[in-house]
Amino acid sequence: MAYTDYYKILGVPKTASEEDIKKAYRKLARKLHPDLNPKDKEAHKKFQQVNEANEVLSDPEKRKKYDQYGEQYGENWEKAEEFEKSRQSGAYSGQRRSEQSSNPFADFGGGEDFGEGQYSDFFEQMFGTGARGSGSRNTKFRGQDYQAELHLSLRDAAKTHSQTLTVNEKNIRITIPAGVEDGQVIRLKNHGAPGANGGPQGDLYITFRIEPDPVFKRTGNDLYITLNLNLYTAVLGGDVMVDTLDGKIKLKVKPETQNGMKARLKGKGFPLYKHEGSFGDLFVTYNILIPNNLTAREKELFTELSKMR
Amino acid sequence: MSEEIIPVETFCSYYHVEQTFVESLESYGLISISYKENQRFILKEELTELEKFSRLYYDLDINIPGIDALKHLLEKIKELQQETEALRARLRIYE
Repeated sequence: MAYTDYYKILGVPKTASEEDIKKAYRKLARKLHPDLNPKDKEAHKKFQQVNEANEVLSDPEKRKKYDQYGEQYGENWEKAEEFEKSRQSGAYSGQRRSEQSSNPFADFGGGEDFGEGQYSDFFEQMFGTGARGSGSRNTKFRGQDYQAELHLSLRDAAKTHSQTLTVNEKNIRITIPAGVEDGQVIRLKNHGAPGANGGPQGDLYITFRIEPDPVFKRTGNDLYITLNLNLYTAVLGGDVMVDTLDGKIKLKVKPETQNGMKARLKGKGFPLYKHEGSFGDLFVTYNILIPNNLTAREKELFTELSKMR
Repeated sequence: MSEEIIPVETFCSYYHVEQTFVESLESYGLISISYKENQRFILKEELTELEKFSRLYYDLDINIPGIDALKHLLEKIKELQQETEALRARLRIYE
């Protein structure tokens, strides 16, 4: 039931002429049009509001109704006249009215859904109703493209899998190839908004967002991992288990490995996008842990060792 | 005839736009028109851009030089957005 001040949206006074409204709308439409503001959700939202405002204020009949009932009936102003008539004809008793005073439409044809959706399709005005209303053209236009984001974990992005998305109450099953990158965009043809005046449907663009992984860092197709190594293995060498995307594997540590040294495991990195069977590399950075809480005997041995150098 | 090209006349009658509009876009280098046996064709891959230009011209009253300027600016915005995305992705590695 919130009141939307269409004059404020268009930045014109209530006394504005038709020409003033047209001018204000043109100016805002040029600033906020989706074609000029790709990926800007805020601009798209404002453009929708500007279209709603123009749809109402540029039509003398609608504007009159809006001026008369807008503030009192909020978003249901269009049906206010009908309501007023019903009330006058006795459809509502005084008692009921007082009970329903906060929402006069609660029992009047659909509760909170009442009146919704009348001016919500902002493309209708630009590409449909607007063109018809002006009487100058009846242009067929392709529907607007939709933008969506799909968040994946790094491990999900490493395997080809299917996901079902719901876009505008429609389920779309897509197969995501292994190796997609953060920020990568795919296009699903004809899954955007319907065209206007018989124009073709728009497309759906999905941007993948790959969430950071607690174990692996990814750069391109290579993966990076830090492996804690005890001092003795670092000095004497030995075998350790290291995490990969396929599970743990054994890694041979060379004797006298230094802190921060890297080992490269070829083909154990991230899968290459649409190159089945090809993988990047896994880089293991050693982090050598110095033993603490030494016993007297250990200290003695370390002292002895230090004297040998 | 290849399915990847659309006769200019077909496009204009389907979208209810003047042929001179399409010709103006071509003269500004905003789209390319192919010629085959004295007939003019639009490449299918340019259709989305052409639709966008039609919206800018007819619905927003932006003239052809304005569309030309906008095209360059929009391309620049796209490049900058991609660069931002790539930098963000690289930054996450160090976070």
